[in-house]
Amino acid sequence: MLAVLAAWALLIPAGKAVAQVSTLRNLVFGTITSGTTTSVNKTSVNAAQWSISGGFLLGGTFQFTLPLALTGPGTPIPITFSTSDGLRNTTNNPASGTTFNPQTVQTIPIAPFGTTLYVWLGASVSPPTNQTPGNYTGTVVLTVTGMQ
Amino acid sequence: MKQSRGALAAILIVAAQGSQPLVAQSLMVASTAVAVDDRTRTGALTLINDGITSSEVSISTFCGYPVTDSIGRMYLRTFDTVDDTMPCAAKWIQSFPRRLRIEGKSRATVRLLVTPPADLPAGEYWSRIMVTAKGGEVTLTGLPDSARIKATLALEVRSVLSFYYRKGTPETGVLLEALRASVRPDSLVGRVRLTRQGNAAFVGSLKASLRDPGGKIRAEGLLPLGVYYTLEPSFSLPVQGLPSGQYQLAVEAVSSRPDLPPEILLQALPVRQTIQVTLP
Repeated sequence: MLAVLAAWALLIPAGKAVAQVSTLRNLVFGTITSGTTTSVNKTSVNAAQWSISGGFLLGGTFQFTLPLALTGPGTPIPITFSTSDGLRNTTNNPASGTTFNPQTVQTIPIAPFGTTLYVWLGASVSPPTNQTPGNYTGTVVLTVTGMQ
Repeated sequence: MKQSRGALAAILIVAAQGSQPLVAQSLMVASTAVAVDDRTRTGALTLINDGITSSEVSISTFCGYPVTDSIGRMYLRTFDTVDDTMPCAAKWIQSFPRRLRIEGKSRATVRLLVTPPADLPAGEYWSRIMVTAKGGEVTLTGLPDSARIKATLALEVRSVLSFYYRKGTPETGVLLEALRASVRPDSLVGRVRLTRQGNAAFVGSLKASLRDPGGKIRAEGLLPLGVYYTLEPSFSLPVQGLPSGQYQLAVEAVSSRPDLPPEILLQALPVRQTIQVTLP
């Protein structure tokens, strides 16, 4: 709830002026078939995954900038991220995570020193029938901001 | 039989790796705030690639500062165009290098050089530094279908840090007003308005405590923040299990943060405000 104060925030040692964001895994759709929608669930091992730690866990924010389509030699392939395709947890376990809308700014609650926030992202791609063969690309941007 | 099991295991591992590529791009920045004064006009940023693959990194700057929304959540307000009244230092900062490649398990230092206008008045000037890290592109398809469609997704991570350029001896302070609180089933949710004083941002923390009639602290917490103009954050204290009655809610703004060394922060006198609250 909001910018949460908690007694354990006092346990963070002073002067830990580092922050870290790690990309742990990219999205893996497996076989993509023309004319069908292929989805990757946010809790699956094929979802994209990041970890955020250090100074960003003192009330910072994170936000995705997501592509609408993957571009290549033919018609762009739509890629969609639903309002429930984001997942976050302070343990590396998507099953007990909290769903969020990846299109909105997310507040990072204050956490004890040593905590890591894990973030997962699912998506769906829908190549039209008779999609031109070739390589299609897009970029997912994760922006993490400290609130100093 | 053992050999065939081993071969099968090896095939499964290879298959798993093929369908689940590890990006392992990891960038650590130190520090999350950089302060530069007008005597040296230089600062440094240490970047550590803790991942196993190389990372393409670029440094950029822009103007922005934390604000609060209607329910007290903090977020970074950014500006495409900056008016003359905003003490923005973004355009004065040059990074050396501006783009670099950091190999896996190695580090790099980026030097920051500030070139302000010659007639700059004394005071503090702000910027945000954005460290953008790109890893290698990864193919999404494990097995392309008969149409041979391949998809590749690039993952980019941007870390946004704060920057302060100080000329002369800027001073800061903060005014606390309008402390109020509402009782929820398991928490006390409060809000308070902080207004910056002086000519520098107040970067510090808000300490909150709840005392019973005997003066004993029954709940407390800390909210690190930066007040550039005004900020009206919300906070909550756990009150589940506390007996009903009158309590004193106190908030105190102090110029220290758990994540930043004191030399980066400008010191200010602590200020405090209290109200009485009744827990049902």
